[in-house]
Amino acid sequence: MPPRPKLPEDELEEVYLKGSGPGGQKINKTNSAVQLRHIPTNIVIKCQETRSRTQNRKLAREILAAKVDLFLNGDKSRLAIVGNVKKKKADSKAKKARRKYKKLEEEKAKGGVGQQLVEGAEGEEVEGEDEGEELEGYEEEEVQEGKEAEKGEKAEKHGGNNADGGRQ
Amino acid sequence: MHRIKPQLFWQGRKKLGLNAAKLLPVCRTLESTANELRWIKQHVAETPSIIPFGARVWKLCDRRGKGLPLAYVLGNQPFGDLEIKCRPGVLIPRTETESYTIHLSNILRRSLSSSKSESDQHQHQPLNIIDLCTGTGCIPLLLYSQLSRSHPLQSLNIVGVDISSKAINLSRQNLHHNLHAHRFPRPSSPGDKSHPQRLLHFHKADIFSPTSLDPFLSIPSLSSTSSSSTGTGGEWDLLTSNPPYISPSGFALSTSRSVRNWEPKLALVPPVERYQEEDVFYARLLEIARTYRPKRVLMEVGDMEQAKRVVRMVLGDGKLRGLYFGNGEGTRGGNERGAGAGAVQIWRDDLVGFEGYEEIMEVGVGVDGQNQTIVVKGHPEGHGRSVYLRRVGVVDDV
Repeated sequence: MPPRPKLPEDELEEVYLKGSGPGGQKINKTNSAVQLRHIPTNIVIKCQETRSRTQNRKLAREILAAKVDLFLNGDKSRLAIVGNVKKKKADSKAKKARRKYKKLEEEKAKGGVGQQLVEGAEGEEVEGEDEGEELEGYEEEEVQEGKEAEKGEKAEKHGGNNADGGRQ
Repeated sequence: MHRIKPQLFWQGRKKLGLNAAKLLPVCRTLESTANELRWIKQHVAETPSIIPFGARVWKLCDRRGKGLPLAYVLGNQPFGDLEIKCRPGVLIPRTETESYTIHLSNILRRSLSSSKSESDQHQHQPLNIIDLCTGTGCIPLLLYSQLSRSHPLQSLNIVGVDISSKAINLSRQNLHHNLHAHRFPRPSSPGDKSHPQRLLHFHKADIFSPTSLDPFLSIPSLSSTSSSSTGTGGEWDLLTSNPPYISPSGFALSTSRSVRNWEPKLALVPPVERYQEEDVFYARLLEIARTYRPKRVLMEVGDMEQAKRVVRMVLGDGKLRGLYFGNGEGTRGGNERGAGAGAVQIWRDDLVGFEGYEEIMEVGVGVDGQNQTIVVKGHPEGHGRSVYLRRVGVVDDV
């Protein structure tokens, strides 16, 4: 795996986000959003993931670095490589599951199948399906471009099953 | 305030679920509703309880929907890399305050690094910082956190003062809360003579009452090391304050409803006296600055107009002018060009990330009939947020 991309500070420009109203003590709305521009490529992302401006500033840099990496290196970028590896894993898992089912069905047709084996296979299959669905739903929800890259990073960090953290 | 289109409620309900309908009247937009709902769910997921997840989310959304600020609903607010506990009765730390506090800590860190190379004696001289009207204690805590991490050998003496006992209790809790989360090293206990000596205390005092405040303003003779018995210490390196600065009419007209209804008025609107009502605290803060001559002073203000008024108060006072502006030196405008020339500056919102921006601004006619100019820092679109004073002879390496 290639290392996580990082951008030099002097290629970045923070975009000033003007809050509504006078600010300071008069307003207590959480305005933690950070907008960041990569000057050479003119890629802009906005991060409002957490309530902390400091945290968002760090996240925005990570996301932007991943986006710029993807833009400049295409298939050779970390995001693409990581995506590929994951896809391969998922594919082979699906393939194995399919094979198992096929085999089981064949055996069923022959008659005299171990009950335990069926249950085990079923459990595995269900798990695989779940994961796939979750990830799909995740991607569908992305409205903002910037978030997508970041979610990718996140999913990669925690192995995809962090999706249910915030959801029921 | 605009009416929210009913269609937005339907969209919110479809996209975000029933909770969205509770939040939408307060959050106003779908984007901000989605954000707050996500933060509420995250909070609930992180804090274990026997009450079911959905019920707790619903309860919190209900409270938020009634207008209670999110920081009170969740009980905390991030401030720099700290988590500050918030409770009704104490003002919630704002991002603007966070921004200039980080900038201040950068200034202090650089000046510490440059003075360290000169002599190691400096490390034994504690860095003295006092924050008046401290509220949750966010400014002293963040400065403590940043400085103790970047200069682990530096002695620190940081004090926070507030008139409200609720605030003082909360600031002490915040100290322990962040200590338990290992966000910064433990301050030295009173009898502890080991080095470095790091003190962080919060005291209840009325800053308008000299008898109550003076004990905390005079720095106790340096107890850090017995070897360095130089009597030069006892100066404040930094005085910060985010005092109440909203006029009674401004409170009624220009504050958001959530501020007006839920946050303590004590922390927002000064009691009436002389000067313009909302400037009372600056008069007192500058009086303290006159007597105790802190090396640096930072006062948060409400807007550019108030910032200019405070600057005029500084320049109009002969002694303060001499202390922080230099005699006539500053009228050239770029009053911080020469090293140690002193500085009177206005900082705009969001300095962090926008350090490069700087302009010269006229603040009005001074005593000598000339138009006074000072340096204004921060993004040109930012509101005037604080007034920064640096004593003549003190150097910032920025």
